[in-house]
Amino acid sequence: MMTCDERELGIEQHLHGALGAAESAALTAHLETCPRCRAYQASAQGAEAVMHASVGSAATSADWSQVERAARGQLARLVFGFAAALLLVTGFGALAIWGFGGAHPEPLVTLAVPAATSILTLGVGAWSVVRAGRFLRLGGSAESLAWLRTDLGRRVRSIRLGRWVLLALALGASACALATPAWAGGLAPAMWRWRVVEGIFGAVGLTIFAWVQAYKLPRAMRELSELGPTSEP
Amino acid sequence: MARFPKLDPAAEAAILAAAKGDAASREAAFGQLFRALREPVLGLCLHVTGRRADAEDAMQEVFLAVHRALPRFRGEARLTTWIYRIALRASLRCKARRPASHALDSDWPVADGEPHMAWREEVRRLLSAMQRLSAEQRAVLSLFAIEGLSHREIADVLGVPEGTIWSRLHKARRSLAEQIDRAVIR
Repeated sequence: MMTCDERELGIEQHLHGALGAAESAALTAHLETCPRCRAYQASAQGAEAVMHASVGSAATSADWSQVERAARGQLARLVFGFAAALLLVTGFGALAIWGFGGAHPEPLVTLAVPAATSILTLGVGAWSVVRAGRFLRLGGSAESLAWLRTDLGRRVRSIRLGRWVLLALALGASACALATPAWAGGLAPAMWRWRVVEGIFGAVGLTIFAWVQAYKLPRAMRELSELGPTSEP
Repeated sequence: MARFPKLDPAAEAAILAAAKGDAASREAAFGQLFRALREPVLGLCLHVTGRRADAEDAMQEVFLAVHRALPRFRGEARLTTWIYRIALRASLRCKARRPASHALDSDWPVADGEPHMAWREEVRRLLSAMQRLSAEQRAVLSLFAIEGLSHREIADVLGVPEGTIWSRLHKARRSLAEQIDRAVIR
């Protein structure tokens, strides 16, 4: 003999037309005699009615053309974002070439900082493109939310590690720039240019680090916590 | 009759064929898809985020992604399944952007003739209770609230066997009732 608790699942299926004819008839007969199950059915129906009606109200007052315009506006912002990233990478490259000024005045090891920063910027750009593709693939046939948890967890770990690499590079560039600042007199033109380049690399790197630390990482972590710790069976 | 226009597999195939055509037919395909799915997508986003402003932001992300990727969609899943998956993710992202302390909407739109205050309170209470459920529970309740979405499609959107969605729905419903009761007692 089924208990009322066990019948609740059947009530859900009955409401959504997923119960066979015989089970449906048995459940209907039981509902006539059981106030507890009738209350459960009414509560489930009531919650769904409120959900349906809330969408109806929102849809009635929605300005669809504004939503469509805003989606297109986002597309423009996306194009602008790509253009800005491309400009940044090109700018880094141009600065590095300008800094050399024909002959590099310092040991080759100081090349590592701008080179690594450029590679990191390019890498982040490429990674963003790959991620945009993954956003649309959405894990194929895997369980959606579990896949999202794994994907976001990886992203948070990458951001956590990447920000320290970026900070180290930015501090390295800043330290080089400040060791003999560009504004100090008596610097050879090639050396002066190189100091300016290192200063710009350091400032841009520190700005990106601050943005990651204050905005990007907390947001990714909130998104992960929004998904919750575990997947349900 | 279902409130949302149903997009059957034949209509989906026609939209996909148009999306792979020239610019004008791509725009027409996108427009058709937008009109067919804007309400159910808004509903899903609304129930997952709990706020109209967040739901509309999520909708923009969804349709931006669809607009960009529709011509490359290879049809591994149904078009609607793919879009609801994007909507689920975009909603969770948009909700995460808002600080947890941010209040739910108080100026909920109300259609003519409805008892305004009681209705607003009912919607606010339900959405507020839903925000205390897990992501899985919110997702399953929201998907079941989309009229015309079959059990098979809900299972596909969530990527779980069909049998699992019933137990999830049942658990979610119980948790929702508990949350509503708690709010009433407080």
